[in-house]
Amino acid sequence: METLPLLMNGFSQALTMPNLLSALIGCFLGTVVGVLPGIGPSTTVALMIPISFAMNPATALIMMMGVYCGAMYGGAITSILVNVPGEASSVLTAVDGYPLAKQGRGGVAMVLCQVGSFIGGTLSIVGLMIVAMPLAMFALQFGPAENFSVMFFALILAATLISESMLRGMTALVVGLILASIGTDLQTGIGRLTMGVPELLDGIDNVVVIIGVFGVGEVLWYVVSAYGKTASAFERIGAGRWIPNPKEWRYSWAPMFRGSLTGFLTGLLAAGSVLGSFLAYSFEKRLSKHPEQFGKGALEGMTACESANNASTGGALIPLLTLGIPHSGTTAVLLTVLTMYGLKPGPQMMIDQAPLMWTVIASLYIANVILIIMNLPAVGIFIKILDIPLKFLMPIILVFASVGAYSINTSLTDVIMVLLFGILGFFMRWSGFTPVAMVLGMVLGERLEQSMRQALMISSNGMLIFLTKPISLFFLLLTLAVVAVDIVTRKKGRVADDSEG
Amino acid sequence: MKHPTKLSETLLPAILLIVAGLVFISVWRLPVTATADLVGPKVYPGALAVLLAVFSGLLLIGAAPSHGEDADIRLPGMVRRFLPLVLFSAAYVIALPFVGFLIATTALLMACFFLLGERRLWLNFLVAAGCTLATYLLFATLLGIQLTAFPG
Amino acid sequence: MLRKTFHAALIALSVVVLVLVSEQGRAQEAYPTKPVQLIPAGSPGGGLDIHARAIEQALTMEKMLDKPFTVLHKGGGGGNILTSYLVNQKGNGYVIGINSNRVLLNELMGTIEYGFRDLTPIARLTTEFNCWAVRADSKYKTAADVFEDLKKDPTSVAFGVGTVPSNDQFNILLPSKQKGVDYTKVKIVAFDAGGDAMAKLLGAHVPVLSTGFSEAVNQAEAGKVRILSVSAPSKIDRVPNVPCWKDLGIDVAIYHWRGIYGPPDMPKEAYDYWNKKFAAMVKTKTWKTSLDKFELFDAFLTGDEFRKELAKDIETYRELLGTMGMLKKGKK
Repeated sequence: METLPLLMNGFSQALTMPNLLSALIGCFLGTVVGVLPGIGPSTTVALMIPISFAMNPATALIMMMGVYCGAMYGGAITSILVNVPGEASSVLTAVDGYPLAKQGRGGVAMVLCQVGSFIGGTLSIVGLMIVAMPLAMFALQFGPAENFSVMFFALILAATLISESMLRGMTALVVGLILASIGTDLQTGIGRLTMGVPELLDGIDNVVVIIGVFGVGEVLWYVVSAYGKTASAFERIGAGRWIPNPKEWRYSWAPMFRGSLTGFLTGLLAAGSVLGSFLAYSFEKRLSKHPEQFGKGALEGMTACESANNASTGGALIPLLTLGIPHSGTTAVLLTVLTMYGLKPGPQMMIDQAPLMWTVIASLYIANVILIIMNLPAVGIFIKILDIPLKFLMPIILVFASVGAYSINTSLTDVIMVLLFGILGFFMRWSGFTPVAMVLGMVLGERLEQSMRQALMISSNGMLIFLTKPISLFFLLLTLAVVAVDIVTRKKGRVADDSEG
Repeated sequence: MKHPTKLSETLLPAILLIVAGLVFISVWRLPVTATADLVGPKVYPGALAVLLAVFSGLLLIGAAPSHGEDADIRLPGMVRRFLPLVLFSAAYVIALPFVGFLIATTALLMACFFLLGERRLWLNFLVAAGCTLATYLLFATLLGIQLTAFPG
Repeated sequence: MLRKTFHAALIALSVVVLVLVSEQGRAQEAYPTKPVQLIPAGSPGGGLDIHARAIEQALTMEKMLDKPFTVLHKGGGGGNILTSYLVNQKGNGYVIGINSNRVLLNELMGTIEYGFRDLTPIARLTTEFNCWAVRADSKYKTAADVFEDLKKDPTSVAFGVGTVPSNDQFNILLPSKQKGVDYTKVKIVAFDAGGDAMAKLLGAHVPVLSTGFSEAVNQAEAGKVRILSVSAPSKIDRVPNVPCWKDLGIDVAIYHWRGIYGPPDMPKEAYDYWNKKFAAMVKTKTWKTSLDKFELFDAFLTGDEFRKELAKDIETYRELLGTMGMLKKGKK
């Protein structure tokens, strides 16, 4: 393989003035849509299609790659500052990042997330370059049975995310799974639990639930809990320092690399970025010496999660570039763009269009470099948001959440749902339920059910298909092992709890 | 096992129990199709509804230890903050199509600022109008989301 | 000084009034007098959005656009959001939507109370064709091999498709029915979208895929899959060796078409205008180039022909969905 000359040629193409400029614009736009709740990279890339008619393919693709990468970087910022994750893959960034902001370490959290994003993003492109073909072939091995087992594994692992009461966590998880089953059933085309609302035929958008439960829920919670307290409760969180100290670096670097690997591998699968961030977070919590800190401002889970969702971009591009098969929303839109330019996306693309493809790959490196250079100083600006008095900040978050929801489908129904989920989020917190568990159920639910039914339909011997397929069996055994370890450690933990009180 | 008495521990499980029932009935009434899909569209959500009913039932009889995060939420706060905020938001959604984004959003922000204790109306207006305009420019101009600025 | 300003203002005002009046005057002469909303029933980047963009591009490039379009997306609800929107715009000549045969399917499945008779079909524009694809190393060399297995045991072959109900699915049911296969028992597994289904075929998780021709042709040319048949009424130029159903003695042709619908009671001038406009547009070079890129085929029908075709299609679907038990109860 003459990879290196091809890559060098790609760099020389990507580094021309117009292409560099379009990378810059793309990165900026991507960061903006990442920061704003609601509208995501796939919609943004799609909205760029008419503009890109006027550009040459390389320039347009470079800009789109900038948007794709930039959105992943930007997602961390609102999660940390105002507890509004823009998409499912940065939910866990909010879970630890927002408490950190409240402790006056919001800047530190953002800097570490940006660095984690850079490491994840860059490593995944290296991976994309070196092992794209074998990994693409490996990803094809994942059929319905394998997918089901992976989802099941992720759900069980997620039980570790539930901190206080297992029963409440499981309840929240089931609520999420039920929410996910709203909409048109893939296998039969029947609308389920739609309550006569036509918009619900497409199901509830994950982002709507997330913005509602986290963003609006936090606003409501704050507003009520600060009632009757002294005026200081309405002041401000305060920016605090934003340069991490050596200890904070020490905590974070290993999770960044582990998260990158997890994210890259799961990026190969559908729903990869969410799966990757949840898995990376759970791994860190299990490895940690102080798991009780998770959810209260631990750095490890947050940085692993950010590295993972950035690393998933490289993984997700693999099936598209090597086989012409898109997975996620953004890669599906990219496929349309490639078709539009008459590039015939398919297995031959990497060969027929080699110079262009390597330009795109080179532009991914460039995008990551631009983003880290652009975003690190930006942290110093964003952090000022925490200096806004809360009586102003909280209503503004409410408006942002509403407009963000509206921007997804330009539909008022989504705005109403965001508010309803905000109320649900408030009551969940009041009753001690974990919103994270609900979100996970919501995000993985549909694939869990559909892959199970697909597998059973294909199978000629019923349930056995889950045990006869090696990859599926592997994940089921892994699940079993996790449960076994959990039971042992939970018992130990309980003893410790009892001794405390 | 202590029977839970606090509202925060019984309200949501009770609602979820009802929801579980409704989900089950709704799923039960789905039509049966003659496709080769043996599991069908009913089994999975139906099973989830049963699970939800069991879990919320367990919570109602106090199978989970109580938790400590509800201390800050009291009735006066609910009446004077939660209710108005929800009402404002509802009014906002209803008013949006009629008065347009700019007016509705400015009004919502001003009402919320006032509710949260900022009584200087001129400052309220300035901040609200500024934020509304900034949001509008960001979404409508930069991203091309069609927010109806004015009625019509 | 004041007087001068006043005069100037008066003159300016009368000029404005004059211009407005003459605009009005022209307005009565020719439709359209203001931008027309063009609404794809899908989100940006999807197939229907592509159509909207291609229409806009063709009319602009060929300088045939009298007033600009405003493209508005009404995705969601399986296309029902657009249908409801159009019904609410009754009598409005400045709104047209793009949708596929989902209009018929949704009506039959009962997910919406409105059908194509509640709208004004303006033109059928394009169609895609469906095809059967197998892996290059598959034991199935022809579609006849598949039918042989199906006849012995209808559950022996699992087909992958994009969604249900869809033309992917009908492309299995209709030929099977003609071949005397008990088609209600055939395993049809829906995967998330075309891309996902293709991955499942390449990974050998399903033996046969019924999918859009455009999704399979690049894979076929790369030697990864073999296309067994296409749903077109005759062979497709790009794959001259692949038989259509008629070549195999099966009287089936499936069109995955997209068409333009207007609101009910659309003014006649608007209806006529768009009928003529689209008839001219489909002949342009720009439009044909766009079709080629996306493996779309011209399937132009005028509004009246389109309406008749829809009435025919819905009966075919009704029968199929009826035997599958997928019709809404009470709708026979």
